[in-house]
Amino acid sequence: MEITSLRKTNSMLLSLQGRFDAGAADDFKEKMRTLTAQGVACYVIDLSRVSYIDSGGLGSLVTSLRRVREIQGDIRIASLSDKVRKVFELTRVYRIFDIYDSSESAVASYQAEAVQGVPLCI
Amino acid sequence: MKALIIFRERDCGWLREFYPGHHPAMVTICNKPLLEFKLDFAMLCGCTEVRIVVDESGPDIETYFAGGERWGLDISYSLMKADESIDSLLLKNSTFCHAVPLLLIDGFLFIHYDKAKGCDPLAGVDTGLLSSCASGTVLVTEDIRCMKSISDGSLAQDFALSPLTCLDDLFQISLQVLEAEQAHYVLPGYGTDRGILLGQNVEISRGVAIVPPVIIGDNVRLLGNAQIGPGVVIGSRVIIDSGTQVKRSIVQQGSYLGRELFLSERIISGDRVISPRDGAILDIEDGCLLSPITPQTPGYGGRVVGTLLAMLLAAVWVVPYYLLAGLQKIQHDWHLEYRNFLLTERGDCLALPVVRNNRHSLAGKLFSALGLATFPLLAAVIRGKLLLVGNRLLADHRANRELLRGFPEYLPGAFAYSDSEDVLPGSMEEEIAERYHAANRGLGHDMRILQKIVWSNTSAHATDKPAQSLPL
Amino acid sequence: MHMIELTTPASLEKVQLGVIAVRNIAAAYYQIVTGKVPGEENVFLDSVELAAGEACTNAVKYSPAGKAEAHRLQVCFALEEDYLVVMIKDQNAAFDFATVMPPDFAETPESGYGIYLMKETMDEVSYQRKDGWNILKLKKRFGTGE
Repeated sequence: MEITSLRKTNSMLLSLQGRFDAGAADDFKEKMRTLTAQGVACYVIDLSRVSYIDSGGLGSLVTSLRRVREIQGDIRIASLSDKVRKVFELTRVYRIFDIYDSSESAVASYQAEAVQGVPLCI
Repeated sequence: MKALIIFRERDCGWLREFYPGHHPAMVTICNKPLLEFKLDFAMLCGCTEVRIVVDESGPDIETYFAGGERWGLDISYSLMKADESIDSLLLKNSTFCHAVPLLLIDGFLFIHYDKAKGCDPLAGVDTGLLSSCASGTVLVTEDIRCMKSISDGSLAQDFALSPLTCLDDLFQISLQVLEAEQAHYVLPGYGTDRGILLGQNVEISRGVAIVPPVIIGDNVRLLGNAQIGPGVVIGSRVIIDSGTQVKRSIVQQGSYLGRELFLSERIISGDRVISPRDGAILDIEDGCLLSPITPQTPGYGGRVVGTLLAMLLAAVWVVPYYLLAGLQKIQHDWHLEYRNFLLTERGDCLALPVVRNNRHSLAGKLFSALGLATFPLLAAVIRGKLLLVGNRLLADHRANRELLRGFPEYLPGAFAYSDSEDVLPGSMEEEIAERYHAANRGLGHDMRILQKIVWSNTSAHATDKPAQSLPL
Repeated sequence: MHMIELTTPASLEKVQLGVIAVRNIAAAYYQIVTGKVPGEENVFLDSVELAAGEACTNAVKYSPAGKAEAHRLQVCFALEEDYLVVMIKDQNAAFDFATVMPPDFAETPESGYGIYLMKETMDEVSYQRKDGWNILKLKKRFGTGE
């Protein structure tokens, strides 16, 4: 799985491409650990080009969310395909993530909060 | 125009107790899912794309509505957290809602409309609230950017919305639609007389009286002298036994009503009788719901007769069975494997032998013609694990376990009830026959069935049944 | 009666290739049995891919530490009536399939969804221990595709 990161005004946009399975989960967790160590707390994870997700991939998202919550950050999910959404639904993981239908609106949600005076995460 | 239809657990969670295993959006009013009424309304308003948003998983919604092809709609699905505000929902679905007029139906409610009158929700409404009731709102706007500041008091147009906050609401609306608004909606079934809608494959025995308004679903059997109506909705796969009277009630799908009962102002759901007014639930332990006649489990005498007959059959079959089995083994056309089959609605299992052979060889043909595939099951009958004549054996998998959950009178046998009738395996007719015979089982009844099966060579109907030989 | 067997080293990256192969083989069966060419979006194939993926990942996860490459797992395919059967076999320690509990959704755990997902997406999942092999048998009915 490929991970592309792009710094936005109030968040970090990570676009994932390929198969987000147990093998890719370790890469993802490592990437998140590095960025979090650099002080990044607010993330948008774009899953539109993820062709497959399993419980390993999902678990790494949950683990990372718990970590960034400790530093008052958040992970917001963008653009789920039907196939990926069904795995979110079966595992009830959607209950802890904010899910947007585009990465733009997810990024915008952080900006709107910044305007409203919610402390910046970056 | 697009529509965003939202279901929140806090509005509709109360229904789960009465409607286990389904999303509340799929609860039926006059045999039509509530959500389908909302879709019809959205189409009447000119919507071509609909997004359904839920905060509690509902796979049955997607199974039923899929991509919306059947309705000529483009349906998509989205998940949200509990307690999501409308502003936040609009942002999360902004690609969908962007720059088009939007109809937003938020809450667990019923929208009264008339298909003949049409509806333009934007006419005469600037923006904002169309209507609201105790359990939700209907909003409409040209552009979601204008939807941001909606005050709850600005009722623009009085749209008839009915809140659904308790079972009685659902019951009353069902009867209201049935009695007063039947022509306002597209309801399933075809009309015969005024106020009567019948589904497919409805069998009405002689002497049954139907007083409109009545709506009946698919694969329903009404037996002698039953009196149905006025004000009755019967779901699919229902059997109402002779002499039973039902008035102003809802019988949900997959229910069996025993003989000589009287039901009024009730909801019947499987083995439950619910009083909609106070929500009181009566769980009927008895397999034949409320039925005064309880032939349910075969008595000791029936079992003894079954065992004796099984021994007799075993003695007759033992020589031809081993002869033909041996012959097929030599030809490598023979395989005996054990598979798990369900014994009860609770999911108890028993491993039973299944013959897999080549049915096209001479030996295989002879084997089938003699009905010998039932032979390996006789051991289980003699040990008292299985009835000689009973319901069709069902393999232990998910769909069958779910099926049995609504089938408390299920008791499998080496010979299956439905083999005595000319029905297609796996069909609705087969299920109805299985339920009917299970409800009427008894020594005399079962012996008649056995006689019918033995005389008519039914071994050609092979399905998921160990008693039948399967091709290699 | 197995029609096709795959063998792969028990490592996560090799298993990824194996799961892609499972999907494609399932697609071939689907086409033969239903007479329809499966499209990009096909619930039947998605389900088989996910369940087999979870089963293979588990097999790798529980293979003896340090010797993953040396260990192999097998995937076998068969047809039973109108079901596709996928069997995942490994030689790890036996486990008690019957007592595996579904995840506690209220807690949103980080793992433990594997067997639950198999049961949810398949029609039948069963476990057998035979001659030192763990055999996980997944069954899915054709025709639940579109």
